[in-house]
Amino acid sequence: MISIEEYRRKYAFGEDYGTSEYKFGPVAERPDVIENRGFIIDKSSIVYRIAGITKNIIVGPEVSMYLGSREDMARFLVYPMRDGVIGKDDERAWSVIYEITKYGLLKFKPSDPKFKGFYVTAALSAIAPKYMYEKVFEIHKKIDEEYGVVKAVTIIPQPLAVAIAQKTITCIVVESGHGNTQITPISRYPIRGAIISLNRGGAEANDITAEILKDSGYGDLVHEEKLVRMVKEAIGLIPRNLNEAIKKAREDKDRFRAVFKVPNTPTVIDLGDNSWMRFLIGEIVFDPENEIFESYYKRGMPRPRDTRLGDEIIRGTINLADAIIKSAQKTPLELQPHLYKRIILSGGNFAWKVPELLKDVAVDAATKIKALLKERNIDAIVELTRDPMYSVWKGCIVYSIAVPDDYLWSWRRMEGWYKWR
Amino acid sequence: MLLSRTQIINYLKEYIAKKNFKLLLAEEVLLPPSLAELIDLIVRDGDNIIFFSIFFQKAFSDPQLRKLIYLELAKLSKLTSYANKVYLVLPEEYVKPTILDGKLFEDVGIGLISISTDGTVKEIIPARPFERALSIGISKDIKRKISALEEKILRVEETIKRYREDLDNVISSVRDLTNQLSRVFDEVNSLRAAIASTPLTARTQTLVSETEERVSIEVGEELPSFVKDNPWLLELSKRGRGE
Repeated sequence: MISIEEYRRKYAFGEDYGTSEYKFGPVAERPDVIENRGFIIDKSSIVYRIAGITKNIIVGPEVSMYLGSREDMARFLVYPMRDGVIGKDDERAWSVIYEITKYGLLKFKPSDPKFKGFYVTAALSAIAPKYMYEKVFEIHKKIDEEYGVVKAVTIIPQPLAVAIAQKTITCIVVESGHGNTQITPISRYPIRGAIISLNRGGAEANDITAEILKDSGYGDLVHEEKLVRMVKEAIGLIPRNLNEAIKKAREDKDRFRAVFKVPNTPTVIDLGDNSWMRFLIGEIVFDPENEIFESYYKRGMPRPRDTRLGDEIIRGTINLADAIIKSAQKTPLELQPHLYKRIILSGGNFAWKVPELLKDVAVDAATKIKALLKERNIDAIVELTRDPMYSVWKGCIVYSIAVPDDYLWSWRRMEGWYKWR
Repeated sequence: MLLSRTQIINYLKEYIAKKNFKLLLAEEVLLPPSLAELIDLIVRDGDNIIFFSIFFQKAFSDPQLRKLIYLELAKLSKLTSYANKVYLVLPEEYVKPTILDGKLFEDVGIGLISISTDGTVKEIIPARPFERALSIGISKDIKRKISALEEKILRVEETIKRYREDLDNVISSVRDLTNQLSRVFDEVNSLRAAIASTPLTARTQTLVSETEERVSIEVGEELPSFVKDNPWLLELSKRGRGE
């Protein structure tokens, strides 16, 4: 029988260090969310000197109040987890992670005298190097020494957290965030030797959106990343078949017309005759190798960097279905059919709208992957996480609740509770 | 004095009885009706069928008789496909060199039996054994029966083919059921995990841990939906337990 003690039920804590958002909180249906970014205060600025600001780094909702010119944003606004990995010596990024973590833990610090600290499960990218684990442990230890809010901490790969949230013990999790896409086969444990991490994600869809905006006469707007992302989310579509979608969109321009009004501003973006390009935004997530993107790469749009799986070099532009197959092939043959039975798509980069009127040509991410695998003679069951935004955090909560207190951290297993008191 | 035809038949029957041959009716042997007229008696000797044909014609001269007997032999030669042995039966007074040519009998394989006026039966020339060619004697009735059998076999083959198709469907259904069963097992495992965790939310429990105080979970304190029924609870709780 499983026993979940009340203390753990109350003080389990989940942390999802996403590329653009940090989701955190104790046991609940939903976590709290702040942007995974920090604003480094320019100590030489007039505001710093006049307003008597004591903090070095601002995180959370306050950040937007400190934003100044675009140049300031580029200089002082730090997104530490942009590619899922932080450089070992990137002090600014680690300082932001420290502030964000402290912000989250202190926000939920209870006044209960019995409170001895949270059981924190943090989720990092599946390709996070060992030093990142060490840094995250160090940060939690420091925060606990200062505020007494961490009883134990552990770190799990984000895809494992997704599998836990989806209540699936054997599966392939494809987690696609802003900066990368991780394909992780899981059978009770993540099969680390089969993990493929592609250097692409929502950023590539943002890049192509920016190129499309430039081609459509809105080049002045592309410097604002948030605006580009909003446009991408509003007009981007995944085509069932790119060539057919483009053909239909060119024949029936009114039905496919892409218009976006920037909220609370008079700005309206209208792609007009270029509206067919909205399908490129979705397609690049799944098949950036399509020759239609070559002209964009030649014009300077960054091509996703190649990655490595063991001794093998995986092209950054590999079709996503081919990457899934490559990953599955690194697992025992007997396991592969079971893995294909549950392919779970997670992360904001798989959350695409399918307008009712365009259902004949536009599909969701799961349908697209299923179709791509079917073209390669693989019958797979593909599903989107029921709650793509929060599934990693949910997995962290379950992990915090269930793992025995005396199961201590092992660097060999990369599992267990890391404790210092 | 020449024997009558009836006397010859009677003496021949006595000879057959002594030899323990079994008399057969003409209907018991597959024989075309035109040839059946040539035969006076049919017997079975073990697996062998033997035909006896009695020659009983009066002639004015030996050459005339000789010619008639040769004609008879020619007719009897047609019977060799239907019997294992064929005999021509003659009154004894016909058996003389001026009438008969023994070589001719041997050539066609027909045996010669003589019957004297006192009823003595002698096998003058033994008949040569023949192989019966049954197929030649297959009557229309048999052909009809064979045709009916062929139809029946065809129907049986069609039925088997249908059964095979049914069997394929059954196998396919069994495979589907196996898959469904596999999913049911998954569900059962999930339910097991749920059952294992249910008492904690359903009733008050006090558990003591070596490392910390375990507090009871009160009725009504619900865990979030993503925690409930989660098979990972059981899986993760085994970590470090050597399971």
